Amino acid sequence: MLESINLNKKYGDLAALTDLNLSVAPGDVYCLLGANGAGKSTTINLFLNFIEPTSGEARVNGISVVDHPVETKKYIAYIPENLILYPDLSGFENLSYFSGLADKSHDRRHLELLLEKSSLQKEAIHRRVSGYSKGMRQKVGISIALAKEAKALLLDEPTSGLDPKASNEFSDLLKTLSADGIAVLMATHDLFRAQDTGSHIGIMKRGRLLESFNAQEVSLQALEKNYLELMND
Amino acid sequence: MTNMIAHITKHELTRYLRDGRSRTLLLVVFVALVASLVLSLRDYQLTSLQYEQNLEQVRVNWEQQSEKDPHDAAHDGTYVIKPLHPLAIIDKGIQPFSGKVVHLGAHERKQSTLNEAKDQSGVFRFGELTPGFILTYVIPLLLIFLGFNAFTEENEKQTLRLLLVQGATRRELALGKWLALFVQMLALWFLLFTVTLVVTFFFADQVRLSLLEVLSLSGSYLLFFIIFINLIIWVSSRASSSGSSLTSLITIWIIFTLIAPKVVTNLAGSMYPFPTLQTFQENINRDQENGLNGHNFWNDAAQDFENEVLAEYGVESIEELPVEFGGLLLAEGEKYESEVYTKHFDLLQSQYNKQRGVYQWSSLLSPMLAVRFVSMGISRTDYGFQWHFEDQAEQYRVEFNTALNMNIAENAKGIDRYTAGTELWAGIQEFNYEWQQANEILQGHLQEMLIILLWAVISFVLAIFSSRKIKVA
Amino acid sequence: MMNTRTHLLLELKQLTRNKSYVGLMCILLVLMLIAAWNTDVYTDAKYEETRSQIQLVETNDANLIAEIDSLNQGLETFENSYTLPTSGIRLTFNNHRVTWLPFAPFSLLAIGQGDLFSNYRKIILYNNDSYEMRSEELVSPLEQLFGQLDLTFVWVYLLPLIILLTSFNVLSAERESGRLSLIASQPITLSLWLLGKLAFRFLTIFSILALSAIALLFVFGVELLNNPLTLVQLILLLFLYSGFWFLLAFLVNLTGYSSGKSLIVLTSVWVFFVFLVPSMVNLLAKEVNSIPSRLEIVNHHQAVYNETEGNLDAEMQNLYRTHPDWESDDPVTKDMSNSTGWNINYLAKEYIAQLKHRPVAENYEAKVEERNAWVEAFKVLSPSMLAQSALTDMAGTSAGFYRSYLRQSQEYTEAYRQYVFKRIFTNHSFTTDEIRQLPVFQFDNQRAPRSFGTDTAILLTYLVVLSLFCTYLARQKTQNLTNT
Repeated sequence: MLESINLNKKYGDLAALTDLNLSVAPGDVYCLLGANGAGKSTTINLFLNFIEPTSGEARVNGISVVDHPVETKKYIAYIPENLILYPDLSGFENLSYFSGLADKSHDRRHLELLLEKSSLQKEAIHRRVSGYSKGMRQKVGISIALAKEAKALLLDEPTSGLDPKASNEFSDLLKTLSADGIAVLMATHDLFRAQDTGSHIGIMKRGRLLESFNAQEVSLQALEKNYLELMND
Repeated sequence: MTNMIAHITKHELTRYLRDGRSRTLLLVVFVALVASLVLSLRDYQLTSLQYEQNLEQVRVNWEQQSEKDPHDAAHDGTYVIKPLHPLAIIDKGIQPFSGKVVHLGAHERKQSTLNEAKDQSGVFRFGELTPGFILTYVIPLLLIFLGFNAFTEENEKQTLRLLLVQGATRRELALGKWLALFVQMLALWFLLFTVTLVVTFFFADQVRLSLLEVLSLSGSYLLFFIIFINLIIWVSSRASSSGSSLTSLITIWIIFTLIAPKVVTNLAGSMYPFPTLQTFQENINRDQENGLNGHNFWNDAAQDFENEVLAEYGVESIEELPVEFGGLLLAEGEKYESEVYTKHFDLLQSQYNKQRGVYQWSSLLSPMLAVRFVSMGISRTDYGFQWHFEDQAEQYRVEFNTALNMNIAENAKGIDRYTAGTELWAGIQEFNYEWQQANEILQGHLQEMLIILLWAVISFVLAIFSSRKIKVA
Repeated sequence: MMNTRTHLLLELKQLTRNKSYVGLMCILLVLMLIAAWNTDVYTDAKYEETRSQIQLVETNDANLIAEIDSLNQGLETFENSYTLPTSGIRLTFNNHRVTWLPFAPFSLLAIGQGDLFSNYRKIILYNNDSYEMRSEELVSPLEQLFGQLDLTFVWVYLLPLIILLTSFNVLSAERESGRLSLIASQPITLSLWLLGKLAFRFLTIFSILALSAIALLFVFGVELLNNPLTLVQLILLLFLYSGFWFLLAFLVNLTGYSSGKSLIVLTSVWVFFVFLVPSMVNLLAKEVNSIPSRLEIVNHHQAVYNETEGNLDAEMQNLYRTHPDWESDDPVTKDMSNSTGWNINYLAKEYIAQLKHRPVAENYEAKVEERNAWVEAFKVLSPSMLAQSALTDMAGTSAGFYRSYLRQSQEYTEAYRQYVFKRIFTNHSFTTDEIRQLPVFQFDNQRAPRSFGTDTAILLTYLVVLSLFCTYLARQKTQNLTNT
C-alpha cells in the first residue's frame, strides 16, 4: 500500500533521507524507530507530498505521490504528533468538516458510530474540542481516517505526551485498524510501543534505514540492545 | 534595573534594525514625510506669492477707480485676502474648505468666498499628502506595524520563559520594548521638530512665531505618538496571538482616526446646528429693520439720530449744519448695521464654540481629535483663525466705510453731485491682518493639550501595569 | 448534495463563533445604519431649504401679480419704479429667480460634494454672477474637512478593512495553530480549499451587505422599484468592490506569509489605495497641472469694472450696437435722476463689465475642468477612487453634477437676463401673464458627466487581472504552502 523506491531528500548538502526502500502492505503496522533527525518525519512528509523528494519515488496504492498529489491523498490519513482541531467546533463537527474535505458523505448516525468506534466517550462527541485532551483529539483523528476510508495511516509520534492508559488505548485502536486491513506507518521513539503494536520495525539513523525486521521475531530486550548498538556507532 | 532596561532596549533595537520589515517601513514613512514637507513648502511659497501679487492688484484696482461719490465707491467696495501662516506647511487644517477672500462693501457683512475645495473633483475629498496627514494617520499605523507583536512574538517563539528565567521582570521587558519603539518614533519626530524650528526662525519676523508654540505643537505630536506606543504595548501584552494583537490595534486606529472624527462631527452638528443661510439672513434683516439705515431718513432711529446731531451742533435744522448730514447718517448707519452683523456672526461663532466643546469631550474617546485641534490651532489653519480673520475684516470694513462716508459729511455740503477721486482712494488705509498672539492661541487650546497629556499618562500606566499580567504560554 | 450543505453549515458555524468576525460585521451594519440615517437627515434639510427657496420665489411672484392686478383695477398707486409692480426694476431687485438641482433617487448613497454646494441658487441680475463670488451655504468648514458620514464612506473606506480583517489569516491561522498538515493531508489542493473558504466568506459578507443596503434604501424611502437599473448598478458595484478586496486577501493568503505579515501587507495596500494614491494625485495636480488662484479672476473683474466705469458713455454705445432692440426713445430710460434711468445705467455697467470679464472667467473654468479631468484620470490607479466616483455618480452628488448644475444655472441667468433687460431698457410694463410665463430653470440630467460605466469597467479589469494572478500564484505555490 505504501512503497518507497530509492527515496532521497537533500537539503543542500545535508542528506535528510538516503535511498529509502520501504514497503508497507495492507494490515501491516510499520514502526520507524530512530533519534531526532533520523529521517522518520521526512519519510512521512514525503508520502504526504508536503515536501518533494530529491530523487526516487514514494507511492501510495501504486500511484506516485508527486505526480498525483490529490489522488493519493484519498487513500491516506495522517495524524501529526499534536493533532489540532477547530476548538470552536465539536468533535463530531470537526469530523463532519474534514470528511467533507475528503469528499465523503456520511449520515449523522454513521459519523457518531465512527467516533464511538474510535473509542471517544459518547458524551464528548458533541462537546467543543477546546475541552478535549490530546488523547481525545487523537481519537477524532482516527475517526477522520475511518470516515475517509483510508487504506493507509501515517502517524508521527502519536503516543508522545499521552499518559500510559491513553497510550495503551491508542495501541489497541491501531491493532483493530490493521486487522481491518489498513496499512500503518508510524514514526516513534517508543521501543516498547513499537514492539507491542508493530508488525514490522525499522531503525533509522542519519537518513538511512539501517535495519528492519519482523516485530514478532524479536524480543523487547533484543530490540533495545540492537537499537542502542546501532545508535552508538 | 536601569541597566536591564537599557540592555533590553538595545537588544530590541538590534532586532528591529535586522528585520527587513522595520527598515522598509521606516524608510517609506521617512521618505513620505520628507516629500510631503518639501511639497507643502512649495505650496506655501506659491500661495504666499499669489497672496502678495493679488493683494497688490486689489489695491491698484481700488486706487485706480474713477471719480465717484465716495458712498458709491463703498458700494463697489474692495477685497481683503486671508494670509497664510508659515506653519500651514505642517498642517493645512480647514484651509482648503474655507473662503480666502472677503468682499467689503457698504451696509453688508459678507461671508468669505473662494473655497478651494469647490473647484476640485471628488478625488480631493480623499485628502492631500501633507505632513499633518502623515503625522496623524500614517505614523501611528507605522508604530502599530512595528510593535504589534512585541510580546505576542515572545510567547509564540517561547522565548518569554527564557527571558523571565534569566531574571528580567515583566515590567523591565515592557519598558525596554517601549523604549525601543520610542527611539524609532523619535527619529521621525525629530525631523518634524527640526522643520518647525527652521520655519520658526526663517519666518519669525513676519508672524512673530514663538518657541513656545513650536514646542507645544511638536510636543503634542510627541505625546500623541507616545499614546500609541502605550496602547501597542498594552494590547500586545494582553493579546492571545500576534494576529489578534494586530487586528485589535488596527481596529483602534480605525476608530480613532476614521470613525471618531466623522461621528463626532455629525454629533456636534446635530447638537448645535448652524442655521440655514436663509434663516440667518432673515434674523439679521429683522434686527436691521428697526435700526438706522444710511439710506432711510424717515424711521424713528433716523429721527433720533438727527435730533442728536442737531443738539450737538446747537442748530435747529439740517440745513444749518456745517456738515453734510447724509454722510453722518451713512456713517452712523454703517456702525449700527455692523453691530447687528457682529451680533449674529458672534451667535454663529458661539454655536461653533459649543460644537468645539463636543469635540473636546470626544477627545477623551479619541486623542486624535485633540491633537488635530491643537495642530490646526497653532498652525493658524483652524476655524478659530478663520473667525479671527473675518472679524478683523469686518472691523476694517467699518473703518473703511466711515472714512468714505465722513468724507461726504465733511466735503459734500451744498454740492449737488459730490464726487471724490484718487486722492481719497489712496488715502484710505490698507487692511493689515494682526496675527493672534501665541499665548492666546495656547490658552485657547490648553484643554486639548491637557487631554492629550491625560491620555498619555493613563495609557502609560495601563501599559506598564498590564505588563505584570502577561501570561507565559 | 447533503454533504455540501453540511459543509457550508459548518463553515457558517465557524464564522458565527468567530468573535472578531461577528464584531466587525456588527460594526459594519451599525455604521451603515448611522450613515444612511445621517445622509437622510442631511439631504432632507437640504431639500427643505431648496423647497422653501422655490416657494419664496412663487410667493413673491404671486404678490407681484396681485399688485399688478390691483394697479390695473386702479386700487393702488405706486411712487417709483422700485415699487411699481409692472416695472422691470422692481422685478429685478425684488423678485429674484431661483435655480435648483433636483435630488437623484439614490441620493441616500452619498452626500458627496453636497456638503460643499447647496442645491439651489438665487439668480440675481445686478451682481457679478461668476459663480464663485457668492455662496448660498452656511457650513462649518471643519464639518467639510472631516466630512459627513455616509454610505459611500463606510463602503469605500471601512468595508475593505473589515473584509481584510476577517480574511487575512484564513490560511496562516491554520498553519500557526498547527491544523494545516491535517487539512493538507486531505485529497484537496490547499489553494482550492482556501478559495472555497474565502468564497464562502465573500458570499456571506456580500449578501449581508447587499441585503442590508437594499433594506436601508427601502426604509429611508428610496424608490427602488422605479429605479431597478440603479439598484442593479449598486449591487454590481458592491460585488466588484468587495470582490476586489477578497481577491487581494486570497492573493496574500497564497503567498504563505505569517498572519502578522499578511495583515501588514494588506493594510498597507489599503492605505496605498485609499490614502496614498489619491493624496499623491492631489499633490501632483498642484505641481504638474496647477491653475492660478481664483483671486486673479476676482481682481480681473474689478479691473474691467473700473475700466467700464471710466468709459461708460462709449461702452453704452457699444452695448446698444450689439443689442439694437434694447435701445429706447423713452426719455425716462436716459434720465439719471429717475430711478428707472439710473438703474438702467447701473445694470448696463455691471453687464458690460460682466461681458468683458466672461472670456477670462470661462477660460479659467475650462482650466479647472481640465485639471479635474486630469485628476480624475488617475482613478484608474485606485479601486477606491473608482468606487467613490461610481457611488457619487449614482447618488447625483459628484463634482461633475454640481459643476454642470452651476454651468446650467449660469446659462439660465444669461437667458433670463436677455429676456428681462430687453424689457427694462425699453421701460416695458410687465403684464400678469408675462410674470407667470417668465423663463423657468430646468436641470438637464443628460449634460452631467457620468462615470459609472467606465468606473465599473475598470474595476472589473482589476478583478480579472487579480484573478489571473491568483490562478498563477496558486499553481506556483501549492507546494510551499504546506511547509510548516
